[in-house]
Amino acid sequence: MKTPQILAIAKREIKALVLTKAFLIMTLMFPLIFVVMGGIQAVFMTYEDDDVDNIVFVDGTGELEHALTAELNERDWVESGKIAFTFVDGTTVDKEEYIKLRSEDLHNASLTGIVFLPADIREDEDKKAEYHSLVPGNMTMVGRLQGVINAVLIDQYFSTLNISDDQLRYARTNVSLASLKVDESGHSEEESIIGPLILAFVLTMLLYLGLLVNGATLMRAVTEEKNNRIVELLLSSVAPQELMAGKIVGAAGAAILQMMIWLSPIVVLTILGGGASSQLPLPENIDLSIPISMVLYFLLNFVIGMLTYLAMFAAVGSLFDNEQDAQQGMWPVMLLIMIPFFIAYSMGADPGNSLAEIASMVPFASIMIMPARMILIDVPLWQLGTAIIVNIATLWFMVLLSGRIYRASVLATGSKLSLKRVWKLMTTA
Amino acid sequence: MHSLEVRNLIKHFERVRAVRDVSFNVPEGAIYGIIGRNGAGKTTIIRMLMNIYLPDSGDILFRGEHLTPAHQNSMGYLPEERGLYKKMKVLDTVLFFAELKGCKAADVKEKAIKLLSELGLEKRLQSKVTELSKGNQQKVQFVSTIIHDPDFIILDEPFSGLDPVNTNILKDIVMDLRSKGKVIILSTHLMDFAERMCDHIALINHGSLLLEGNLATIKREFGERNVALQSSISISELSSLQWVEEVRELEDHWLLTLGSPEDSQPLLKYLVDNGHSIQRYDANTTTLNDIFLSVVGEKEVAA
Repeated sequence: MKTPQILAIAKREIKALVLTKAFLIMTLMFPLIFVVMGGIQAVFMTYEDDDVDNIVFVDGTGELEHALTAELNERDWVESGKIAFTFVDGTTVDKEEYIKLRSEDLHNASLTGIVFLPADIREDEDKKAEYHSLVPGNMTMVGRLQGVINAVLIDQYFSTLNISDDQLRYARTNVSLASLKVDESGHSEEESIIGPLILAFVLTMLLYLGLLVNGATLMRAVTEEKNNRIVELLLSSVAPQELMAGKIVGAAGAAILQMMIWLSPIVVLTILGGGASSQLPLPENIDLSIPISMVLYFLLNFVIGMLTYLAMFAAVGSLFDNEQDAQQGMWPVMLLIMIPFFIAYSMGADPGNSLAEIASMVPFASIMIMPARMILIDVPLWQLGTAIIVNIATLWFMVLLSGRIYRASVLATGSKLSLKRVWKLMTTA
Repeated sequence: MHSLEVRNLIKHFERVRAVRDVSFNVPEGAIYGIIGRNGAGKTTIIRMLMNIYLPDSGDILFRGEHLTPAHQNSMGYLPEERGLYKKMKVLDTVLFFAELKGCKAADVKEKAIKLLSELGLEKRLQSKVTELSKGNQQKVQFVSTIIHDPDFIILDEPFSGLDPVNTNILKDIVMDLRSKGKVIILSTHLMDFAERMCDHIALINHGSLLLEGNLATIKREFGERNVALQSSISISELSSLQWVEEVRELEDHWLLTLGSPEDSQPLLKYLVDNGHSIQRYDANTTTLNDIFLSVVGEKEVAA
């Protein structure tokens, strides 16, 4: 291996990638897009129009108005004055007729919805009530009403049992089920996965975004180099594998630089604020600590993953003469990134499932899945070792294979390359 | 020992036989011409010399050693199809290619500036390649080829696309390099350049070696039996003469192959005695172009 030459290629590649308008725009635009998207989402989520929603409770029991009013007045969304309630004694009201009667109000928007509480709702095991509206799919409204009615019914039920307020508070509190991790020595301890989860999520997103931006750029650079024949000059000095290695290291360098720029605000905040958590709006009792071994594995995995996928992008680039064709060749690589991504997410339901266990040691899939597994369960050391070896072997193989495809296809311009022809060239060039 | 020995080189591309059992020896300190038509297989041979292609079979020996990637550092290569990084600066380009040959950029920076200045590019060192004319881009490429002071310099069609002034500048540099003891392998389809510059030649056609050796010797041997004639005599009369074995009609003259070197004098006497005007009668001064056409076959060249 001609290491100085590989470094010279990498250095040139970084310069060529970084000192471009595209890099600058992408580096600045990506976080901006995220901030803007997040902002837009937040605006939409919290958006409420100025109209007041009018809800009528038709109380079939004729006894719940007082309790409902008390419960409603405790809610923020009632205090804001955006929702108004009226009560109708429902003991003598016919549901169908009442809806007909108020139909016009519903249609001219002076009434938003009608809640029917049946006379036997306090005895009915299923606690069935109805909400009639032009927009019955308003989940926020349905959820709010449901919560209020449920709270009132529970209070009513317990009040008949003659119990204290403390007992009532106990009955209304949900169970807190703590998940404890049993380690090898048989000890159980409570473990916070928030820190590792954030780190894994951030690194995975960065890997994905970094590949999306820099993978395509590297692919374009390879295609261009082949197209304008520089490659012949390069190959007269270094082996194709060395050229590939240099270009991949260069592209990875540019990608990592880009990520450092993206992450720098957080780092600066951490240093200035003496801790990220003091600057971020997190609850105080959240434990953000991450075991150092996990951090090291994540970083190693990240670098290997980046290099492996970049090698694939470069190989795809070397197959094609022009950018348009190369874009079409990208999807198999993207699939290899996407599929493990989805397997990793599916693990949320059952982190111990055997598909995830096997996938975490399979080439390509391992890069996305093993970090997720490590966070959720104690992965045996041998599996971690296997994953590292598999990933390094995959990277090595990819660089060799890409180099071979590169040599075969890079000097064969002109006619379109079929996979069959590439294979033939690989075995003859 | 020869500086470079090529033995029984064979290369196929799928079903195309690109190089067929080619062998030749390049002496030390020579300019060696690999000549042939476009598509004859010259570039494929050169790419194998540069370790870009691997031969199917055959050996390449540099000063007695089998070709390995390590030899690439002592070779400079100017490919036929030229390419540079368009957005890279001129000086950076030359230094980058020097680094690829194992040099440290700082060590060769002064030399790079000197060479570029000699070619009139002293004010363009910080220009982007894309801002240069095609001729100047070729100069940058040429400097990149020799910046690391290689022992072997391989130039594939070095004069293509150059104007006469730049062609002469480049030619002078090549001759200067030879005088410094460098081995220069030059591939070209331009016979007059090959004739003026090369000490030795290998003539390739359809991937096969047709003729190889010292150019002066080849010309002498070929010229002794071949006469270039421009005269008023008709081709039918010429063909019927006892001394003439074959007549080839070239652009502006005939190329005659005689039965033996001694037949030249009786032929000349016949032309004079019979009152045919003679504009040209060259015996022993056959051009490389004549040899090329004669060996490759005129019809094939025209085709």
